[in-house]
Amino acid sequence: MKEKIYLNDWLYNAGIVGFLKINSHLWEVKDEKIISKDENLLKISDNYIDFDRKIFDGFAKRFFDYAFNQYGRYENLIKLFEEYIEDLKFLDFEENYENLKNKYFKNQDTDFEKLQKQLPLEIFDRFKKILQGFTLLKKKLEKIPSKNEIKKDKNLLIKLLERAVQIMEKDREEFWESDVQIYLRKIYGQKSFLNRAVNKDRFEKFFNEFEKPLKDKTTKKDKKYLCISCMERPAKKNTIFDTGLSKFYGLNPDAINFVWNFNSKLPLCEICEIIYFSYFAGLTPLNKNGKTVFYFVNSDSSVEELLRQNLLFEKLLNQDTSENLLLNFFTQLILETEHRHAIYTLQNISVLELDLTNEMMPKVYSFNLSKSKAKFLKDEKNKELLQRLSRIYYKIKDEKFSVLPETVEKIINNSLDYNYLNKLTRIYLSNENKSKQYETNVRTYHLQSLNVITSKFLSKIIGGKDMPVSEKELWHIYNRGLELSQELRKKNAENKIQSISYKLLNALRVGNTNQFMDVLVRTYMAYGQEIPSSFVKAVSDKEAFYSLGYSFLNGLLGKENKEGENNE
Amino acid sequence: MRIKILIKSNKVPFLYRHRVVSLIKEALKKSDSDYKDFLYNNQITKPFSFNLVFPQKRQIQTAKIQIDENFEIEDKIVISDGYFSLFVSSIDYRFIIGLFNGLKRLKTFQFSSNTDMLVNGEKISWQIKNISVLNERPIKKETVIFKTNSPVIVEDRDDRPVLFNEERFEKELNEVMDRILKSPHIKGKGLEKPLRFKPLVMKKSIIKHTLKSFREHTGKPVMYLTGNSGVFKLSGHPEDLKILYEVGIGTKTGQGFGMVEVL
Repeated sequence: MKEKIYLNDWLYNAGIVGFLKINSHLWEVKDEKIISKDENLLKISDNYIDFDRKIFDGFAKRFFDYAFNQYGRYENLIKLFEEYIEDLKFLDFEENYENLKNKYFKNQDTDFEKLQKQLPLEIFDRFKKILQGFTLLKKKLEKIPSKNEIKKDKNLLIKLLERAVQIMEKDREEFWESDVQIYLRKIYGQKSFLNRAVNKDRFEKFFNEFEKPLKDKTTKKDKKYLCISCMERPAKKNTIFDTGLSKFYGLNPDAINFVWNFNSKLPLCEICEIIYFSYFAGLTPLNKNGKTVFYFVNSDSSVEELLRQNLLFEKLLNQDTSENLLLNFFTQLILETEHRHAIYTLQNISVLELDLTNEMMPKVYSFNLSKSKAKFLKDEKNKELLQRLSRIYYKIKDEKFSVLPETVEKIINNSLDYNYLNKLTRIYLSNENKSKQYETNVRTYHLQSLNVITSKFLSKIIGGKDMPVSEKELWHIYNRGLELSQELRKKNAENKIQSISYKLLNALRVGNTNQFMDVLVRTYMAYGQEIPSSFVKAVSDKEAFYSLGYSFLNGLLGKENKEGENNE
Repeated sequence: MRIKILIKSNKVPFLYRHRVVSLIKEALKKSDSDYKDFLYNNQITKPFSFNLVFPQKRQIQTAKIQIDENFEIEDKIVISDGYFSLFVSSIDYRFIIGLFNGLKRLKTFQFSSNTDMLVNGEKISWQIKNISVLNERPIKKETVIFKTNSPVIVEDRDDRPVLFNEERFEKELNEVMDRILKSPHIKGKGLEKPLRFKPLVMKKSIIKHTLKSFREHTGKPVMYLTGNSGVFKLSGHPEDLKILYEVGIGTKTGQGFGMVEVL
């Protein structure tokens, strides 16, 4: 008898992702497709998965392992203690001075002798701080030398650290159970083995309460009620769909005045319960400003998409933990996705951010793209233009901003316009002038790519019609700008370029066609060059004015020979 | 925007305006023929005016001018070994761009053809030497003192000229300008507020002018136009005054009348 699990609310979906990740030995990713290794055991279908109850064989161990690895404390601490030991031993040799000083006392003034005295105390302090949050290890270490003793003999500290590593390795099983409990209690509260009163045989408790009855189908059923979640299976006897499943989800048994007849028991089946109980594994943890926050990408188009998007998010997280993470994710999702349904799925994806250190509701980032916008972002040519911006940044004082996520954000918010381009052009000019306030690696063809995207976006998405000037024509004008700048350089009038550019930029900022044309015509006439006829359009059409105007300005500021020649 | 076109030629007849119109048409045809058709295939107000300035060192002579196969008259010409300056003012950048690009390609303009505009049987050609942009005077106040560069022509509904000293001049001027400003390619709406006209140093001037259609219709070689030249004070909305400054005042601006300068 197979159990079917359908996509549902976001927490349940996170449970499905978690359940699949815990059982990751049953599927693999092949050519960006998720493929089941044994469909009799686990089958991933469009909006549901089904599995045989045999899947629960060994589930408790996998569940614990997953939590243990996700927490990662045990491995990290062993590694850290070993590092401490090594550094303390290195301290005898002067050649390590520089390294160690930089590692522990970066901004402090200290010489080798001082360092030899300071370092053991520093490491001892750090170690003691760790023990404060690690009761099990502290208890097992029993006697800890005093600060004074360490001061006299650093070998005592080395021995202490070595003993800590030994204990942890010897009693791994115990640490494994204890860490899983600590970690999951933070997420789930005090359900089952997570209860504070339970301080041994946690694994056994979980095995007996979940794995065994699930496997053997021995769970006692409620005679009256169906599961409130799946509405298919009979509920488990005496189950409370309560905040023990999640701090922010379900029902608090104390708040019984919210429920009918003051009965806080909401029926839930054993399968839905274990799915909900797996949601931690569906989350992606990220260290943000010193504390762990969790992310989950929710979409309800298909199980495969759901899993795939969360895997992509996780992958991205490992590469880059910048503040633009979410935008990077959406941008990447849009730029990378080849899936034919992407257009539709992009419309109903949200990312949830959970901060489990307080009981606040999760933050939901929803990007809710319209179909036309998703199409726009997915369009090959637009994608190529956007990809050019992928490594572009600018800095204002010390704050760094990435252009691609900003652009995509503006597209999503319908706020992409020429002001952004104007700002970047100003920063580009400031950077050229060796400004201390601004820095950027933007080049003029980046500005021009942004101009084309902005122009397309404004006409297609905002205006709902075709561009007044073709993309080809914009690049043509860009090249004419380049030609004029070369002409000016040839005539030793390079210094004029800047003042002309500023005038053009100002005219573009306030949308003053006359002012712009005045400068343009004067410049061309002064150097005896024919004026590009495309500017005729700029005169009569405000939209064309901006896109053509910036094209020309970008070209004029450019130093390349031809469009794209300097493309990285 | 106003530009100055430097032309090299040793003689220029007083009867030059219709040839400047041809020069403009030819230049536009070369660079932006759609726009040329727009301007000249329709009866619309031209968004520009011009005037030709003779060099200071000059002689004025009388010469035989063959206007076309049918007409030859005696009229004045200017002789010089220097340059003539053609000033053009326009509100439309498309016109300026078209004219500039066209003149760049044209380089030389045949003032006379085999049968038309021969001076003492001789052909004249103009060489386009240089084109430069002039600074415009900003107009921000409600009153401006203008000086005419070429005579201002104001005509009533029956095409009769109206002179500056006539009582109805201000009313007719308002009607003409209101109509012109209403053209979509000029402003698209009429005067913001009525113009007030006050002559300072004005005189009546009679200008000889010719057009092919006129000759064919009337069988006469030239027409005599009555215009107003000099210095006058004009009040109105600054935006309107600025447009007047750019497109010229009165009628027939596209034929070289009504170009003014701010004093």
